[in-house]
Amino acid sequence: MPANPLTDPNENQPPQSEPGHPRRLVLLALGGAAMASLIGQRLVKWQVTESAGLAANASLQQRSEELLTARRGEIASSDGAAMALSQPVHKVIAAPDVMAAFDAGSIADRLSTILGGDPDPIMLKVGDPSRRYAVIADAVEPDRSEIIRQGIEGGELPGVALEPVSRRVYPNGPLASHVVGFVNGAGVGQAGVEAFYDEELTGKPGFLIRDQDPLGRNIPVGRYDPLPPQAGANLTLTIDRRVQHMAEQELEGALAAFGAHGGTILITDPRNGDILAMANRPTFNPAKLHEYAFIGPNFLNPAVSLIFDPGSTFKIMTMAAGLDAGVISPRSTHNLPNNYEYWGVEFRNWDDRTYPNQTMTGVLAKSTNTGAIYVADRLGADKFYAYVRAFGFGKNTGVDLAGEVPGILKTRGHSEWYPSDLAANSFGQSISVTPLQMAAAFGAIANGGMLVKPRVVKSHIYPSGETAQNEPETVAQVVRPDTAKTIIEMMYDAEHTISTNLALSKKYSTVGKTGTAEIPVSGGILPEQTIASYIGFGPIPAPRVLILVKVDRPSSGTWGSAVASPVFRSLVDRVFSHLRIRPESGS
Amino acid sequence: MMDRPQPRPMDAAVLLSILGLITLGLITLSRIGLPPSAGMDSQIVRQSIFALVGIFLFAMVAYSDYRIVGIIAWVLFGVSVLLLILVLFFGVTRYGAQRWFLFGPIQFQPSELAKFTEIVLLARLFAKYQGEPIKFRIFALSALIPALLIALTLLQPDFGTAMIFFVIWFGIAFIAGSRILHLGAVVLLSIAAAPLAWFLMRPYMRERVVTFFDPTIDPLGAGYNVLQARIAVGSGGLWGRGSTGATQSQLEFLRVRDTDFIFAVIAEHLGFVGSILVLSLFSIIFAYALVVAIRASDDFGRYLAGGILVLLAFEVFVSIGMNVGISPVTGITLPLMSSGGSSLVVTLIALGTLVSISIHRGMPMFNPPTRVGLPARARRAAIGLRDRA
Repeated sequence: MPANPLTDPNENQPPQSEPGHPRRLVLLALGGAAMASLIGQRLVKWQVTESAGLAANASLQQRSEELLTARRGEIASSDGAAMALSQPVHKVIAAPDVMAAFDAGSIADRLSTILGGDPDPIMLKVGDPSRRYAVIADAVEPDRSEIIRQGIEGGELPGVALEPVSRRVYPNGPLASHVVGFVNGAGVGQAGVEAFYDEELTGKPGFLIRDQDPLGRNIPVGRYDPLPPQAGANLTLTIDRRVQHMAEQELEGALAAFGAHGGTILITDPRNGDILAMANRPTFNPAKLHEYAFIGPNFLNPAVSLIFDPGSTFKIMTMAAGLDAGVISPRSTHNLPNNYEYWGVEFRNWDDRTYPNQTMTGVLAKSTNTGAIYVADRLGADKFYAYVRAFGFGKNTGVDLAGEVPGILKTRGHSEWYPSDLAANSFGQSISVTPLQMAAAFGAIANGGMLVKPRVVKSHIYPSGETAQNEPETVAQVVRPDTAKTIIEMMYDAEHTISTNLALSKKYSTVGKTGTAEIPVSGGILPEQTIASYIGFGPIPAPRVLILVKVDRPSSGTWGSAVASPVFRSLVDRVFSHLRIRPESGS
Repeated sequence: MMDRPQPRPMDAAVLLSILGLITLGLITLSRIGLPPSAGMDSQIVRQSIFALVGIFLFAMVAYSDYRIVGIIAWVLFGVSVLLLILVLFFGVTRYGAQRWFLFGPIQFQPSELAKFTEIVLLARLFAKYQGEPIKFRIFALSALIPALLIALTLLQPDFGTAMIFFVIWFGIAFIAGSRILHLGAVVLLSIAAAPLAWFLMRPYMRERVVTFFDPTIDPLGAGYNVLQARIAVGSGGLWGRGSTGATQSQLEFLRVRDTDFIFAVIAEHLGFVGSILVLSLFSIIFAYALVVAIRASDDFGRYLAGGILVLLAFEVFVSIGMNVGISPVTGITLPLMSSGGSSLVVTLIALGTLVSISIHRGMPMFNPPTRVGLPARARRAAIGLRDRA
C-alpha cells in the first residue's frame, strides 16, 4: 500500500471525519517561530545593545547648529568715506521637490514678476522635482524680498524661502581697490585689507543650537541656545580719499601721455609709515566683480606683489650707506672711467661720459653709475649688503596688506651671487624690489634714518564703540640722523644743479631721485623698455610727504627725469596744498 | 441547548489579544502627531468606527457556521474579482496606485477583501481532494486563482498585495499536502523569474530592494525611511521614550508612520518591552490559529484556518520585519494596528472565522441555529456540499 506521508494516518477514514495529521502545519509553525526569533534578536540588538548609539543619532539629527554670521566690519578712508560696507539682503531659495506638489510653473512666474526678468531660468532651476535645493537669487533688495516674504506668509509661494545674507558693497568702485581688496562669494576677504584683516572684519559668528523637526520647526521641549554673533570691527584706513584720487588721476594722465603699460604711485607720510595713497594701473573694480571672467593679474597689487629692478633711485641707499660707514663724504671724489670693468663685467654710465674728480653730490646729480660702484666697492660687499638689508630689502615691509612679496636680494654666499653683482646692485640693477620697499627705504632717509613699517590701517573701531589705534612701528635706525641730514643736503644740492629739473615744484622744496631701470628678462633685458621712476619727499627740511612715481614701459620717453618727474611735481603741488603744508615764502 | 457554540478560555484569550492590539494601534495613531481634523476626516475617529464595525462583524462571523462561507466561496470570489476589475476604472489613485473606491469619507480597498475570499475558495477547492494526494493537474489549476488576482493587482499596481496572493496560495497548497516536488518547482520557478520581476518593477520598487540591502546608499532618499525606522526603534530602548520623548515618530522624521512604519512608532514609544508585548499578542493569535487549524473537524476548516494563519503571519512578519530591517519595504501594513479600514475589517472577519472554526468544531451543520439565519436554498446547498465532500 503506497503510503502518502502527509495524509497516511487517516487514509482509510471516511472523508468527513477527522482530517489528516497536521505535519505541514507544525512545519509552518516552526517557520513562524524562526521568523519571530529573528525579529526578537533584531529588537534585542537595536533596543538593548545598540540603543544608546541610535538614541544619540536621533538627537543628533534633531539638533541644528545654525551659524549666525556676524555683520562684517566697514572699511573707511581716513577722511571718513565708506570704502567697503555690508548691506543686509536676502537670498531666495527654493525646494523643487516641495514645489512639484503645487504648480511649479505659476510659482516661477510669480517669482519672475517680483524679481524681474524671465520665468524660464527660474523654471530651469525648480523644474526638476528630484532636487531638494535651488538658489533662485543670491541677493535681493529689501523692497523685493518684502514682497516675497508676504507671498510666503500668505501661502502663495510654497517651497520658497528667504535666507538673510549680507552683500559687500564698494561705494568708491575702483578707487584704491588694491588697498581695500574684495571678498569672495562666501564673504571671505581675498585681497588687500579685506584679506589681511579678514578675521577682525568678520567678527565672531554666533551659534543657534536648537532641536528641530525635519521641517525646521523648533521642538518645544528641545534645546534652544542662541549665542549672538559679534559684529566685526570697522577699520579706518590711512588712505586719504582726496589724495588717493589725485594719485589715480595723475597716474592715468601719465600713462596716457607716455603710452605706458602700467604704473604705481605711492604717497606716504615718512614719519609714521601711513600710506596716504596707493594707486596702481592696471586695476579692477571690486563693485563689479561679477563682470570679470576670472581673478586675473589685474587683481595683484603691484605696489607690494610685483617686483622690479629699481635702477638709479637705489643710488641714494648706496650713498647713504657710504656716508654712514664713513667711507665717503659729500666732497669725496672718484676717478672711475666711463667704461669700468669690475670682476670681469664692463659697466658704463648712462651718458657714456667720464667725470674726472667727480664729487659724491655730482654722482647724484649726474646719476653716475661708476660713482655708485666706487662707493659700493669702498664699502665692500659685507657692509654694503648689511645696509641694504637694514633698509628693508630682501624681506617683507610688514605692511598690513595681503600678498606682499620680499623681492630678490642676492648677497655674498648666495649660489647665484657673483662679485660683479655688487657693482650692479650699487645702482639698482640685479636687485628686485617692490615699490613699497623703495618708498619705505626713502622714507627712512626722510625720517632721520629711522625705517618705519608702512601701514594702511590707522584704527579699529570695535562694535562696543571702543577704538584702538594702530601705533606707528619703527623697524630700525638704518643710518644715523646726521647721515640722513647729510644725504638730504646732497640730494638738494644735486637737484638744484640739474639744469631743467621737472621734479622741482615752484612752491615747495623737495628732494628726490630719478630712476630709469632696465627690465630684466631671462638672458638679458627688454630692449628699448624701461621703468621710469621718481622718488622724492618734502618739504625740506622737515619732510611730511613722500611720493613714489613709477611708470612701466613708457613708449614715448624712457627716462625717469622726463616721465616720472613732472608727475611728482604736479602731485607735490596738489597734495601738499591739500594737506595744508605752507608754501615757501617768496615762491 | 447543549450543543450551542460555547466559547472556551482559548477563544476568550484570542479576543483579548485582538482587542489589545486594536487599542494599542488606536493609541499609537493618536500619538503620531498627524494634522488634527474633526469628525469623519479625523483618522483616529474613522479608524475607531472601522474597529467597532469590524468587531461587530467579528462577533457575527464567530457565531455563524464557518461552512457557510465555503458554500458561497465562488460567489465571494466572483465579487472580489469584479471589484478588482472595477477599481481599475472607477477607483481613486493615491500614491501612484489605483487601489481604492471612495464612498464619501470611506475608502474601500477591494484587494483586502480578495485576500480573504482567495483563502476561502482555495480551502474549499483543496478540501474537495481530502485524503488524496494532490495531483499535478489540481495543483496547477489551483494556481490560476492567485494568478488572476495577482494580474489584476499588478495593474493597480500593488506589488505587496500581489505577493500576498501568491503566499496565500502557496501556504494553503502546502498545508493541504501538495507534493514537495511541485512546491519546490514553484520555488525554483520564482527564483528564476526574479530577474523578470526586476524588469517589471518600477524604479521606486527597485530602489526599495537596493536600499534593503544597504540603506546608507541614499540616506535622504530611498533609504531614508529604513534608517529613520532604525533610529526610532533603537531610541526606544528598553522602556520606551513615552509620548513626550518619542520625537522620531511624533515629528516627521519617520514617514508613513501610520501604516508601514507603525511598529517603529510603537517601538520608540514603548521600547523593547512594548515591542515584545506586540509580538506576544500576535503570537497568541498565531498559536490560536495553529491550534484551531490542527483541531479543525474537517479539512475545509483546517485549510481555512491555515490560510488565515499564513495571511496574518506573513503580513505581521513582513511588516515588523521591514521596521527592523530584515525585510524590504513593500508597503505591507501591520494587521489590526496600521491605519486603514478595509484591512482592519477584513482582518477581523478572518479572525472571526477562526473563532467560528474553533467553536463550531464537531458540530453538525447549522445545529444549533445561530443568530444568523440562512435561506433554505443556501442551507440545502451547504448540506449538499457536505454530502459531496
